[in-house]
Amino acid sequence: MTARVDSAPADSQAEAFKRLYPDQYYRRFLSQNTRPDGRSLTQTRPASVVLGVITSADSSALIKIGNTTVIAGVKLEVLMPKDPPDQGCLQVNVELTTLCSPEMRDNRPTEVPSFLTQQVDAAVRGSSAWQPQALCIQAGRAAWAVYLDLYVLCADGVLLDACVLAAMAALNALRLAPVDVTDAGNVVAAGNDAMTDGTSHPQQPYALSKQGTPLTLTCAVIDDRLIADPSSEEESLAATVVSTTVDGQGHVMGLQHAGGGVELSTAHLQQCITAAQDRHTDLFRVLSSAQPPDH
Amino acid sequence: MTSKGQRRYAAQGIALGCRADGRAGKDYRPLQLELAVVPQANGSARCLIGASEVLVAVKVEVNVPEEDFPDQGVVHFSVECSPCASAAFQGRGALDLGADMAGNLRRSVLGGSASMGGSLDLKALCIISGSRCWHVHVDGLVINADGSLLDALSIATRAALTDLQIPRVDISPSDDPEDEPEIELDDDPEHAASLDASRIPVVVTLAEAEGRPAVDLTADEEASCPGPRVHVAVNGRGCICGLHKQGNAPLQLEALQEMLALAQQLGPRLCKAVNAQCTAQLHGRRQHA
Amino acid sequence: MQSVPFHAAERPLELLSNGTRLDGRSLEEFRRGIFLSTRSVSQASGSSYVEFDNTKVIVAIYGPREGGHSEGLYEQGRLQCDVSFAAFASRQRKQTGDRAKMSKQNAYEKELASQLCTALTPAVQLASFPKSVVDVCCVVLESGGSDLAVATCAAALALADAGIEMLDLVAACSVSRVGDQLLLDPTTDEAHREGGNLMLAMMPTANLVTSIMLAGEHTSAQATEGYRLSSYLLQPLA
Repeated sequence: MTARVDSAPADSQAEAFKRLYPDQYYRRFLSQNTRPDGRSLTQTRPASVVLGVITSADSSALIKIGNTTVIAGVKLEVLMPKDPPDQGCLQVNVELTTLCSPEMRDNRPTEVPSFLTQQVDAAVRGSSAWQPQALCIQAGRAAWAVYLDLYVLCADGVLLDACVLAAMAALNALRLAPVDVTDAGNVVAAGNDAMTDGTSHPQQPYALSKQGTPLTLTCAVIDDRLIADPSSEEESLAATVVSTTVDGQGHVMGLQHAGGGVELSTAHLQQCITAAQDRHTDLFRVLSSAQPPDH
Repeated sequence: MTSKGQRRYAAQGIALGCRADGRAGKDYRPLQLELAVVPQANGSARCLIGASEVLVAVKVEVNVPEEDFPDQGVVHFSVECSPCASAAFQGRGALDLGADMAGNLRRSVLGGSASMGGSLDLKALCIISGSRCWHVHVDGLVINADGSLLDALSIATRAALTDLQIPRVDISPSDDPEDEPEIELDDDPEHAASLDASRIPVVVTLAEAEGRPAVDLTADEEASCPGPRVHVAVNGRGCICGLHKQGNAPLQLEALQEMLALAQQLGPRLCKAVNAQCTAQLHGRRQHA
Repeated sequence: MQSVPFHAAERPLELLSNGTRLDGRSLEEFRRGIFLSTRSVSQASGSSYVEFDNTKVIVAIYGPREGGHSEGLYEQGRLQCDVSFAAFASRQRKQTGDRAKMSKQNAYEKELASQLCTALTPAVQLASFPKSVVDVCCVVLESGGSDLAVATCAAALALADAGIEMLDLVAACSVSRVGDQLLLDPTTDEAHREGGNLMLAMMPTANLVTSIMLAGEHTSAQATEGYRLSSYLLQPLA
């Protein structure tokens, strides 16, 4: 009982210290090669992927990396492809919801969502798996338009990692239904006999190919030390943040170095890439083991 | 700003049926209605309840129907609270209040989310199923605010829709069957059609004064009765077409029931009064012509 | 990019067969897959995630914080609600290109936010955070029907989770009138064919109504039956 009474003020002192001097508080941990949440400097947080959470979407994924939560949903629409005539299209949009962090409630527009949109879009399109031809239903007449919407529900660092993971999960879970194009140019679900135009289409819902899934790891540099998978607190203290996107073969597909005038040493860069390659293996395992609910 | 004692006195007055202007709790102030006040609009009405004054103008345009309801017209509602109507209508508050009242009018006139079960025949606004229909814009303006705004707006809406004249359209199929048929508007007012507005409800706003329901509170009286306010839309047959509670105070189910009963009693009377004034004015205009 | 929605299946034409609904419920039965949880957003003062079958809503509470000057001065505290829909929440994707459709969607979200505020405010002890604002942020991840009612339950739960002083929790439910029948806790397909609806939010222990909304023509008996039904059935929900 006495121990409890004693420890309470110590806790609140630590809490007060953390509030007043967040950087010093953090550096004390750093000097002991550890972090406030108990991780080692290179340790990443556990990730989880749940598929098919939204029934109104054509495919969806809810992913978590630590506390960071992102939900991704795909809606399919049909368009008339013009140029080139045998390709569908993809539109990615990332939004930070008002509830994801205390900063968001001011409704101040930031560049973060558009930055994330750009990066996720680049990651998806840059991957060898991305074949806009696969979205074609009938050349010149109909193709799929894939709308991929991502919502950050809880922002606790590594938003890009989470968004890329969610995008990959949702796209991997996407099944294109077999459809037919009627003479009038309307797209109907296959099997509506007599309306088919004779072209051969796979009669089972088919998936987009998924070799080389790109995945991202973000590292923060604090006091010239590299910290993998930083929380939002750590990101706010970091001098710079590096996001490395690698694909299944370990090739670097994208490298984002935010943080202005801070230099990044080659050694750190090498470390980032190696860590990202390791993280890819982890995340890919989580991604592949996720099963849609109807399987 | 009034003192607590003054507010209490006013509230008791309302409850006991002797209000500052001599009315009983269930009495409305005198109602004045004037049709066709905005010559540019297809239908309009100005309504005064005591010192509260609102104007509703209805305009129609040919546009595309909503994808979910290809054979129905579309009705839009908006309400603007002029800053000169009340000191409270400065800045954002007026915008929110206007949007609230517009939503309330929409729900009471159009009914459920699918716009079915409403009091207007939206199918009558269809021109060519799936491609052309009438869009009806009902725009309200609060000119002077002295309580019962929604009541006045709903009465003016009913009157303006009664006054509404929809031009006749001539559809001539174009030579190419792929193209949309041509639509020509007939400007002759003789050929214009009117809309059946007889089922449109009026809103009765009820407040609680010392635990008893009262209607048509002036702005001063509203300040004295801080309790919940309930807007009940009632049509000429006494059916409830809409209900909306306002205010930060909770409400008891029994009190609500009492309020509904009073609204159902007053609503048809109000409808009848509006009808009488509309008919008289429309008749007068026809004789004039 | 001009694209049109593709629907694998049409909306059902018949909602009832032999007195049971499409999802196997009777007329006066809540959806069966009700899931309530709190602490779903780690960054917030309080949060909740609520699922009623296909209606999925997440709510986070931030604050109390100092009320801004632009919002005017208030003696008491205030709730500020915000409701938004995910683009994939409905049958049809939320439009982002078409300005007219966007403003319509925004107006709808604003309206829901103001209704949410009406339903919650009577239950909150506003005097406990004078001159401050509590933000209620709500995202509808999937709109499966009775969205406002589900959001109200979720928001009340989140407020409690945030430790905001309240008189009571708030429970809410919707009833749709389809033809002559009253369907409790309607799905979107049911609401699509409704002739009228009723949403009732109550403090169940105090038995007080915080918000009531009714649209569409009802006879007095139908309205009474509607709110009798909802108030009676709200009890176990709370």
